[in-house]
Amino acid sequence: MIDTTMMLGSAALLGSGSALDVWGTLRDSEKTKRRAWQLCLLGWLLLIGLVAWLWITLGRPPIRSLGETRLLYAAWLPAIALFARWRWKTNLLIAPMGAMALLFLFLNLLLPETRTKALMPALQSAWFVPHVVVYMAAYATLALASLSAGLLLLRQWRGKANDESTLTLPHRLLWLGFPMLTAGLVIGAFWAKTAWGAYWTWDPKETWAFLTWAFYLIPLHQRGAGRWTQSLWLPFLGFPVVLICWFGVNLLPTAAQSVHTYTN
Amino acid sequence: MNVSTPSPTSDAPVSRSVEPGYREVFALLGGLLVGLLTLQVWRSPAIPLLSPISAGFGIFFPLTLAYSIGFLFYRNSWVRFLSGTPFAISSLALTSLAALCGTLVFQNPGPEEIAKLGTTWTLLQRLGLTDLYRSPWFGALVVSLVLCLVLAAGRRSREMNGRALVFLLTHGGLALTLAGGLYGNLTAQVGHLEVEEGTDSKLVRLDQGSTVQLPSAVHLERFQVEPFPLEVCLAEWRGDNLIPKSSGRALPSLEAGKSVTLGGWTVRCETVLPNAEAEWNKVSDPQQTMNPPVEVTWKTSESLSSHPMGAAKLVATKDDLVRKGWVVSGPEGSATLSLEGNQVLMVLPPQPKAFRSELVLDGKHTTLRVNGPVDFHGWTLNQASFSISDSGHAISILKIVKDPSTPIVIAGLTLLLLGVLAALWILPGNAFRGAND
Repeated sequence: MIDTTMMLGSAALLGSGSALDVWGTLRDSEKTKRRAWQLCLLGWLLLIGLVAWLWITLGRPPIRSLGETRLLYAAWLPAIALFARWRWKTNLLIAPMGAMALLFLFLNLLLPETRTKALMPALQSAWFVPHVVVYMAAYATLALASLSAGLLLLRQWRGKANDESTLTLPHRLLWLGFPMLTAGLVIGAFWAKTAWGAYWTWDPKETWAFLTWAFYLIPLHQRGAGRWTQSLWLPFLGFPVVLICWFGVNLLPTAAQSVHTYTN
Repeated sequence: MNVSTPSPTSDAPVSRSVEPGYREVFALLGGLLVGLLTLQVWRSPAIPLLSPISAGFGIFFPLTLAYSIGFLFYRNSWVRFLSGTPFAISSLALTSLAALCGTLVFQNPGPEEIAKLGTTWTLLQRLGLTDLYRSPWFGALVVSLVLCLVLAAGRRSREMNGRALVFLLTHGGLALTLAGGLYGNLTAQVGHLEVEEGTDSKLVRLDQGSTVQLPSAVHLERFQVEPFPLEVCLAEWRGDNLIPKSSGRALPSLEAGKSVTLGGWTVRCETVLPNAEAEWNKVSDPQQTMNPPVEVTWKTSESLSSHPMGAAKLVATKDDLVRKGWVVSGPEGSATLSLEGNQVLMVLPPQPKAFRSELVLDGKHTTLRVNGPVDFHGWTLNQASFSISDSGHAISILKIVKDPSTPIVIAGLTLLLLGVLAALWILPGNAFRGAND
């Protein structure tokens, strides 16, 4: 089974890259850390290859079901972590990214889906791909913001000092993820207008998307003693809100009233 | 409040600088909310809906007025209070909390949901929680947010730099979106129009319960449904549950006369019917092994169905094994083809690929598709779904919307998006600046 093989291969590369990064950090070895992100890069390329292969074989974008969106999310995680490494010269995200990507890939392996080519008429829209892709990119970025904030809080609790540039990392990620979250919300509104005639219906999924967006407005507006010594707690606590919007809404009794039921 | 007073020995005149904080804001907004909720519960006096007013007066005049107040009186303490971050965050938090309640309580529940709620229903209804997003107190929270945003934009626009531009775009865009949304809430007309194939209709049933007539009739000349090809997959019985087996690949589609390979089996499709109906044929059964002595075959259904049955006659071979029979799936049940052990072949229920209405509007032919709305006398027609009448004709169900706030909201969302994208480059410490910036 090609998709299982590629997922396992990618998981192996990302997992070993993350483990190597931790080892390199403990040994303070730049060479080891370099090998680590190179392995993660290979793992990411394999995931991108899997997404492309699914797109070709299914004849539609592979972003319809929960499993397919989990795969796209797992593909965005290394991309954001590698971007942070390139732009901000930090390896801090490699290990947490690997752990989260492994979790979502293993979820997909444990819960395999039948891959049908059918795509309901409401999803056959030019807005479909940008809406989901931007949202998954935003979720991946905000997840890494949450994980990096958690790591920094852990370091502070253990009495280790964080340098200024590392402290800025969660908020840089927020400033990268929030525009993507806004773009996803706006694209969704434009799409809803063409599909259903209304740009906003206070559907449970839409409402939680608004709540997620509103939640992240708070840390963006915070003022602290210095620009980057703001509380890390809000970025850290933000990802559970994202998870409720992504998965939790489907479990609410009011989900029956939702039109966002595109899962298998 | 934070109050600073000079030391007793100072000769300077006593001055008290008062900075409103979160406590004061929560007290003010919380009190307002309780007051409005009380009003809602006791239903006195009824807050009348605004009559339809032109967007130019209803939206832009109040927004421009508030903006001017922010720009001209930016030093005024009330303007600073209402446009400050504590007020903004607090009103956003309260609005979000209220919106969250709407996801936990059924909105506009039907009789089944009302029965589930029992006696709680009356209280929830009186508090406005069952139509929360249209309730006056929710509207008041949104108005407080809009006011805050516009005053803040007004204060900030006295500066002429990139940061002020980002601020103006994001906060002004959001204010315009929310104000437009509120206006749409009060004035939009949303409903459904059902028209049977070959007939006309101009009666729109609005979601609020009333009806309205369109200026001229919508004629449905023809309704077409295009199904996806039926897909076949291997499955196995685990107890009473049929579990499809994932192969990792896309499920093969069935085409009459063609073969596919699945799990070592070669499956040849003799007949495939995306819209099938059963045919019960009596057969000779002298040994009385069948009760009743009938054989079920399938043929193409003459009438359209909103949830059709899909059927395929398959021949599966593997080494010396040959299995033949009908495989069926749909709302009326399913039938699988046994292979070996508990392994079977099944087809997935038919899925519509596309459905469209061939309409005649004011003498002109128009095709209405999903995601392809059509404008008609100020109304927007959207292809929502379809059903089948008792006589077997298709009934196209259209969503009809007349919303004067749409251009305002679209403009607001566009400004908001431009603002957050501009923030990526303009704001210091932003995402794309390097490590040492």
